[in-house]
Order: sequence, then structure tokens, then C-alpha cells
Amino acid sequence: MTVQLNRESAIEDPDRGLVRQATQGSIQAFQQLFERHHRRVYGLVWRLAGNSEMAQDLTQEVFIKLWGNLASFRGESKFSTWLHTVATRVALTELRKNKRWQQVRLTGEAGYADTLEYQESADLSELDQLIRRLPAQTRWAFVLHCIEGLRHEEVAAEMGIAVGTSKAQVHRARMMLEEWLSDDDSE
Amino acid sequence: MKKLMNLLFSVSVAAVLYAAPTAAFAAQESVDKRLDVPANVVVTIENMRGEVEIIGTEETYAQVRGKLDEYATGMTFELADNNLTIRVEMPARGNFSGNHGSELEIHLPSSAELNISGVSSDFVVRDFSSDVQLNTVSGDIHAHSLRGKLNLTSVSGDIQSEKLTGRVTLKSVSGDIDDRDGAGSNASYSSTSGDIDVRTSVSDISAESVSGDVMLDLQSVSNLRLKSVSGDVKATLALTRNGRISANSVSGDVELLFSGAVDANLEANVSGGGSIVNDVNDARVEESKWGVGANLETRLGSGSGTIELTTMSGDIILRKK
Amino acid sequence: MTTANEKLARLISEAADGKDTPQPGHDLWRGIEHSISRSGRRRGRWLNWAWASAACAVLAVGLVTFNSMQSSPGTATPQSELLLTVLNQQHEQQRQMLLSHYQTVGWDGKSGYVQQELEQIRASIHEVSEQLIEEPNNRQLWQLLQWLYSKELELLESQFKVNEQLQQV
Repeated sequence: MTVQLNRESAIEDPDRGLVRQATQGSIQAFQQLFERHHRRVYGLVWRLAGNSEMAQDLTQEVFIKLWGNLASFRGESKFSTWLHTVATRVALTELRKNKRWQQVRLTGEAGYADTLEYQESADLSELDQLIRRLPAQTRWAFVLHCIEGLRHEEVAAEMGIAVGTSKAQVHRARMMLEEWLSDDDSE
Repeated sequence: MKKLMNLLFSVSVAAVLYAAPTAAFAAQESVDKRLDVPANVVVTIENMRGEVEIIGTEETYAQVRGKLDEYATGMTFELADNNLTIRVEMPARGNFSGNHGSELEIHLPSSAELNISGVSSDFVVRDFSSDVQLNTVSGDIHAHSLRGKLNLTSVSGDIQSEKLTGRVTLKSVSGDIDDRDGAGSNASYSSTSGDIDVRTSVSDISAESVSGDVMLDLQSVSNLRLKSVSGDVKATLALTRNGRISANSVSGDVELLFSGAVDANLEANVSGGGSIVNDVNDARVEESKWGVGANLETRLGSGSGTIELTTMSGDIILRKK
Repeated sequence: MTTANEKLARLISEAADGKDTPQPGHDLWRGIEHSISRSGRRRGRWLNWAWASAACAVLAVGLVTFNSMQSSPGTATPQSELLLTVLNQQHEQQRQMLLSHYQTVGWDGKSGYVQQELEQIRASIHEVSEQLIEEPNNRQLWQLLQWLYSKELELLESQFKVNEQLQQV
């Protein structure tokens, strides 16, 4: 996974000064970067994870990793774009590990997590409520392509799947979502 | 300070005991017994509650002096061949909630081999030159100047020891282990939640802990094995030419502080969120870019020894003194 | 009336514009600051605790089955996962045997003693197992896992023994 997403050319980056200070060790500057960007990061990882507990852990993990790796940001893209790539990768790495592990174990202990999720669903948008019901890989492809705007080639590279698979997953996601939307409307 | 408090406390307890009418207390039977024993005597000592001090002497007899537990039904003190049994006899059942456990001082030839057990009994053992096996549950253990195969275990009590020589195994669950000025062939320390603090010249050492921290002040080490779950492990040491160090932890940090030159192939691996700090040479730590983890492989000096360090999410820190 | 198709397009476009994005329920900075301000010391522990609850459930349920193994798609190293499954299974059997043995002699298995450490060990077994799926060739990790198994059994055993002895005092 070495593909660097690089859609903006060297534009004026409002974060550049803070990034430089943070790279030199300023936690205050880093906190400002966190304040500016963590909501967007949280939104992204929430949609990838499909639950808030994991999303909180992942958001923290993203920023902790970011702190240790700020020096590798070379300013070839906007910081916010780069951060988004970082967040995607950290989230997918962790989620894949988590998912594979879940497949190796017996299911049947989801009760508590389900209860939590049910309680929080009131605050979610209609789309986010439905996104959670998508299977993990389908959800990741849908979120990255349709909401985050990555091309299928980029989605495929991030997820480690074929481009065709990415397209198929996004198609599947749309079909499922449309079906659920019309179910809801007819109720 | 603690000693002073203890002293004040025992003085005041003594004063109260002295002043109070004896009938107010369950009677504690006094004992003073003596038996001649062979030099190769094997001694079994059992005392459920209280404090027992066991001292090695140059004499050829065994002597027990002091007071028995307020609930004791008597004391067994008998020699069969070279087996000596000293046992404070307690009723088979009962609720032993009173405060007066045994207070005994036992003198034995320093060549005696010891098997000691208790429940809430504290033990002080000093000046022996043969094997010692000691188990207590909630009592503290103080061991001084012992030489041989030494197995000391307490569950929730602390273990404090000085000048232990031979093959030393100290084990606690929630109590702390503090071992000073050890020598001899090897030493092994194990705790669950208690801390382990060791200063020794033993060269073959293993230490493991679940959540307790491990702090080792070592000299020249030929073999060091460290394991921890969440406790931090820190060792100051020099490594012999063909020495081996292996350390594994889950989330605890592993820190090695080298005094003097090190000759070893070093491999350090962090799988999760931790990082590797290398202040020993110029080798770069490879951080897998966005995958998780970090890795360091480097040769120190001639590379004759081996150092393998692994943590899941703890940090690995390598420094020179 | 909009069709489901049009509605979905609208919802996606709103989400892409950042409308109604899910928001964190509480302050996340403190955990981050704690982790980074100690120059990485103890970093990652919070993640362990996040795993802890899940891990307890995993080990309580315990057995991993061949069926679920085989249905798991895209596994790069099925052999190591198989080994892991077998090891976890064996450990769980030993653990259950130990517990049922003690239960037959009248211990209900309830004791607050070393409970926290036992939970930590279970969380760690979970975490290390998971990592071994990623790093099947990490010999030290396999050793760590074996040690955690033995440590858990040892603690369970000591828990019983202490319970028995302390009841007298």
C-alpha cells in the first residue's frame, strides 16, 4: 500500500505552519491540527467502522500515528488530503485485523454492542443508519468511492482488492441501500 | 520511618499487654524446647498465623522459643531419623479471628534443609547454607544470607531478601519482591501484580510479571529472559560475549540500559502502537509506514551475543549508560 | 415523490458535502495527548482496554471452530491460523477442565483475587492471537502466547488454592 493520493498540486496549505511546528515537537500546534481535522477524520472512520466505539479508538490511533510520522509529510499535497489518506489506511488496517479475528472466533456475543449501537442511532443521518447495515467490505468500498470520492483504482489499492471487485461492491451497496430506502418509504 | 512506627507500635502493644489483666486475652502458651539434631537435618516448619523467625547457628541442636497461637492446641516438635518436624497444631476447624498468632524464634544448625509453610504467618529466615522451600499465603517473607536452592513464595505478602546465593526462585502474586545483593548461578523472579526490584550479580536471570513493573540492576549477564503483560520492564546490565537476552511483553515497555560495550546481534520488534527508541548505535528503526509496528535489526560490536525483544504495543527503549 | 434511486443520490451528495457527519461523543484529545506527551511511553494501552471487553467474551465463548476457519475468505496463511485455532482450543479445554475440577470440589469460581490480571491476560491472548494472524512467522510472539496460556492457568490455580487456605484464617 504505497499509493500516495495526490490530487491537489502544491496549493497554499492553511495547515502548513502548524504542521511545521508540530513536526518540531509542538504538542500545542498538533492539538490545533487535531481541532481542525478530527471531526472529519472521525466521520470517515465512523463510516468505515460502522460504530462509534471503534471510531473513537481509530480516531485516536490515527492522530497518535500521525504524531510519530509527521516528518514523512512532504507537502506534495494539502495536509488535509494527506491526513485523509493516513486515516483511511490506519482504519482499514485495524478493521481488517479486527474482522479477520472475528471470523476466526465464534459469534454470539454481539448483544451488548448491538444495544449500544441502537441507542446512538437516533443521532445519525438516514444514510449513516443504513450504512451500518452494509457488510464491511461493501461498506468500505461505498464510503471511499461514493462519499470520499476516491476513484475505483484508488479504492482497490487502499483495500487490496481488484478494481472490478471495487466496482461490484459499490454496485452492491447501492442496490442494498436503494432497497432499504424504498422499504422505509413504503412503511 | 516504617521501622520506627513498628517499634513504637510494638512498644505500645507490649505496654497494653503488660498492663492488662491476662484473663482478658485467650491464653497464649509459652514454649521453650530443645533437641539435638544431626547436621544434615531436614526440618519441616508449619505455622498458620503469626510471626516466625528461623535462624541458622553453629550449634548442633534445634531450639524453639516463644508463644503459640492463641487457638493452638499444642506444638509438635519431634525428630525421626534426620527429619525434624516443628508444627503449631491448630483445631481442624474454627474461625481464627483473634489477633494473637504464634510468635516463635527457632534456632537450627545452619546446615539444615528447610521446608516452611504458613498461611498468614510472616517468616524471617537467615543464615542457612542448605536448600530452603518457603510458602506462605498472606504473610511477608524476609530472607537474609541463604545459600542453596531457594524457593520462596508468597501470594499477597511481600518478599524482601538480601544476600541470597545459589539457585534462587522468588514468587509472589500481589506482593512486591525486593532482592538485594544476590550472587550465585541463577535467579528467577515472578509476580502477578506486585513489582519486582532486583539488584544482583547473578548472571543467569529470568523475570516475569503480569501487571507489576520489573526493575533489574544487573552486572554481567550471560542469559536474561524477561516476560510481561502490561508491566514495564527495565534492566541495567552489561552483556557477556556470548550472552543472550530475550524480552517479550504485550503492552509493557521494555527498556535496556547497557553499561559498557555490547557485542550482540539485536532484533527488536513492535507489532502494535508502540515504538522503538535506539540510542545505542546509528541503526535506523524501520517503521512500517501505515501498517502498524516497527522493527530494528542491528549488529552491536562484534555481534557475538543475541538480543531479541518483542512487544505488542509497548515501547522498546535501548540506551547506553 | 422521489424514487429510492434519486433519494440515495441526494443523501450521498449531502454526506460528501460533509452534512450530518457522525460526530465523536466525547473528548478524544486527552487520550491522544496522554499517549504522545510521554514520548510514546505506554502508548497503545488504551487500545488494549478497548479490546479487553471483546476479548473476555471471546474467551468465555472460547472455542474457535474449523468451520468458521474454512469459511473465512482470503486468509493468506491458513496453516498458522489453523495452528492458532488448535492452540486456543487446547488452552480453552485445559482451562475448562481446571475450572470444572475445582467446581467439583466445591469452589464456585468466584473470587475477586487477581481478577484484573486474569482479564488482562485474556485480553492479551486475544491481542497476541490476532497479531499472529498478521505475523505468523514471529517466533517470539508464539512464545509469548504460550506463556500467556500457562500464566492464565497458573493464576486460576493459585486463585483456588488461596481461596481454600484463606477460608481458615
